[in-house]
Amino acid sequence: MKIRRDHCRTIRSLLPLHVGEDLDSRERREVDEHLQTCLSCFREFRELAVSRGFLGVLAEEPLPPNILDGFTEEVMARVAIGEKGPAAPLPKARFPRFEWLHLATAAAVLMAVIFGLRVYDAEIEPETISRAPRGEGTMIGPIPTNTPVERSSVARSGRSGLRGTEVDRLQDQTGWNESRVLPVSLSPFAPSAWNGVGLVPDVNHQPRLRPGWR
Amino acid sequence: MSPASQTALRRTPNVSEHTREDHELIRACLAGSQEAYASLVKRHEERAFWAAYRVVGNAESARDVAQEAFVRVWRALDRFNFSMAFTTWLYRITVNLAIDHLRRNKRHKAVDVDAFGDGLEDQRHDQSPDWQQGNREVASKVRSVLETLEEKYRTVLALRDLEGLSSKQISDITGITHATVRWRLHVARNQFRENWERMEAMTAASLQSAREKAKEPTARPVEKE
Repeated sequence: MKIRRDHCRTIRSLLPLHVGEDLDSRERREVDEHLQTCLSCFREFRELAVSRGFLGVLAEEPLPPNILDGFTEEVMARVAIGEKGPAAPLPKARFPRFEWLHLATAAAVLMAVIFGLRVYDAEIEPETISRAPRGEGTMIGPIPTNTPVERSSVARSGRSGLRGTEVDRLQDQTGWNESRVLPVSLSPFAPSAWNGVGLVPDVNHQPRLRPGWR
Repeated sequence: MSPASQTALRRTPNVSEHTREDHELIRACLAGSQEAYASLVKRHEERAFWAAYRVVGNAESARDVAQEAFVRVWRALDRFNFSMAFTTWLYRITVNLAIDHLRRNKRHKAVDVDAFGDGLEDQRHDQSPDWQQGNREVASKVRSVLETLEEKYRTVLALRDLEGLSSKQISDITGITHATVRWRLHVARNQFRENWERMEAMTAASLQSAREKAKEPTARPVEKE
């Protein structure tokens, strides 16, 4: 019984196409065979066919009177007067109207990015700890505590961010030398990656794993 | 065979012969002959008009759309692909323009099927035994129901059942796949049938209420105390 119902559903999905003879021969044969044995599907088909039959009335509708009078002449007048034909294709504009808009938008975005970078650069100036030349060895904000520096300078200072005076103090205590500062660039466009914070990296550092991590 | 198919056949003579003649005219146009283009327009003006009319549903707008289509065809004639039929190309341009016209003017709003009863009130009293008159009324109802369909379904249904184009041709014209054409046709016919039946039911209900109204006495007799 269920198989029968499923088959009916499949056939009914094909009926709208069957009324317009839009099925291929295999589908059509299958639907026709089913319609000979299933009254409810046949009724469904008949209702679809009746409603579609009304479209036929519209298809036979005569042309509205005088609607196409002078049609060709008007088209030819437009063609002859102003419209460029196949013999004279329209030249492509070098800069169409909206091209300027795109260029202006791109320029504005570029300016905003450059200006933003300069402001950003100015803002990080007070946080600089390194005495390395500008653009090298600068550090922004707190030192990440999971860097090799943690066990040496940061742990001793008890803070994550160091200021110039603290650097001096550390320099006195540890004998840290400016010449040992590794060149580090924070520029996102720099080819080298940030390998530290401008202090001597701890080459023996082993990353601490959280309990349970392997 | 359905009336729609018969009409479609009547409107589509010998395809290959027609296509060959169209191509000859296009070659003449490309050689600079405007007379050849006038002949081409004359041959296809009715076809373009009907294609536009099926989509926009208004004769004047359809005429404008068809004219615009022929002007666009003229402009782009040097890019015509001779491996295809001119009619397919013309249909594509016309149908696209008609759809654009609908969208631009926002004239096509989803027609509420529930509002059918109001429009049919007057028609009921004008019924005439004249066959032409009866057909005109049915055509008007069919057009109303067609307007309730979404534009994408209406376009496919009109091209298939009113213009008699094949699913393959509709696929070429509209630029959608054959499977999508079949699916839209399936949905369009189902929706057309549902809306048609609702409209019929509402007409019947409207007639019934009018009859009951007519049976009611106009004035109640004054009761004596």
